[in-house]
Amino acid sequence: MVNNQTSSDLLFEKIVNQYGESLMRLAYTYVKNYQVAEDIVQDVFLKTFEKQSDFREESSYKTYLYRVTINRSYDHFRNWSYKNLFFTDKITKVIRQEKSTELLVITENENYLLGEKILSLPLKYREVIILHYYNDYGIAEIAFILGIPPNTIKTRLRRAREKLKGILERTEGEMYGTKG
Amino acid sequence: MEQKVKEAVNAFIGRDKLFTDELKQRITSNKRRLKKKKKKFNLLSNRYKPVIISFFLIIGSGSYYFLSTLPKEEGNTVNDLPISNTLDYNNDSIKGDKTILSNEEENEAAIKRKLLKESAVIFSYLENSEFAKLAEKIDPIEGVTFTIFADFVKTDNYAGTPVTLAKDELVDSLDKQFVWGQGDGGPAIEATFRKYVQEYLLKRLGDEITYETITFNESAFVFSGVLNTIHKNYPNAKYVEYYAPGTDGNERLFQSVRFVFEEREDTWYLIGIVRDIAQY
Repeated sequence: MVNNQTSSDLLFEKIVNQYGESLMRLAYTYVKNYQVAEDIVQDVFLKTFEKQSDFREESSYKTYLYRVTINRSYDHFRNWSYKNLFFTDKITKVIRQEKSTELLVITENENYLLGEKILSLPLKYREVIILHYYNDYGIAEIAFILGIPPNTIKTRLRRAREKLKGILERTEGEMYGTKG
Repeated sequence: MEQKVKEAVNAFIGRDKLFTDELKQRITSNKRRLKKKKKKFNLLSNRYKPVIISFFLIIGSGSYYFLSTLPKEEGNTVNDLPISNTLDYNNDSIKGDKTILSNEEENEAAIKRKLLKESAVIFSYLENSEFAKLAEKIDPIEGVTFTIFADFVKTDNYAGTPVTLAKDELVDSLDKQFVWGQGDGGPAIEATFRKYVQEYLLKRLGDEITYETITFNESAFVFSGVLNTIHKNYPNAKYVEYYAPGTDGNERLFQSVRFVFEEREDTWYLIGIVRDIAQY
């Protein structure tokens, strides 16, 4: 019994160590608030570990965690109080920026501007861009994670690419004073 | 583009670790706390288990003693009880368990034939939007319950509160907006009854599908996760499943629709239409 508990604790720690960072980044791309992302990730780890019987072994555990994290992020959007969090988010961001001088430099950077624009895309385009280009998932996997048919994913990805291309051109224009 | 997106998103979110040691510690200590709570609850229920078992043993043996002391009524033995009209127990056939079992099997086969036919008719009513005819198939008291996942129960289920339509309100509900349920954190399905049938039962989230396999009282394809609870919640119910396999080589994109029936006064009525898709 003691051994079982220890191995369960060790497994939990291993999973947390292995996926914590990527889930935090994923949750952030949805909710754009560090504190909320932390709460979501904590909730995902505790709930999924408690209800391991829900895990379908056909997918990898990482994919399963991604799906649950995205679902929890959607839950957050449905929550009436999330609108009140924009203010908190701004404060958190300022604090983080003050702490990190590196980030202040990046603020001036093209990448930072581009990142900001990517995360400002409508959610349905943003999530396919993030899952495809940031998390290296293929069409079928994204379809599974989001519970949407692959053809819909293909269409969204195509439109998202077009938008992204426009953003890239505009960002370069803003950086170097040319009009894209 | 891939590299550009990665760099840009990392630049915006921050290159420092977002998953801090502090957060990790918080998660592990909360997990320990949860586990302790569970353990405490288990200990508590284990402590009272012998008391509960003894209580039922005493009540059980007391009732047995009381019933055995009662005088037996003449002419009201098991043999005199009315025989179910669904099984053909004639004098020649009641020769032993083997014959009775074979009758049961025969009866089951007859039910299977009947419900497969009923389901084909119901499916065609859905395809041709013949909802007045569909209403005739519905249980007159219970109505018909629609669940968006395999968990079938009329009260709250895996996807929230399911929609139940009474026989006489089905046709009037065609263009009414309902919330059919909600996945695990996914968006809720909100649609009219007509749209739910067309987009979610006859199609998979709007994509064309073909129901290739039809099974009786069992699933053609079991995808673990949301469990099929028809028999658990309705032990007397029978169902017919229409199964459409996944497309693009992705078995997760399957969809099944189950027509659930229960018998009332020798007639099998439709009590549920269950949709089963992969949740995770």
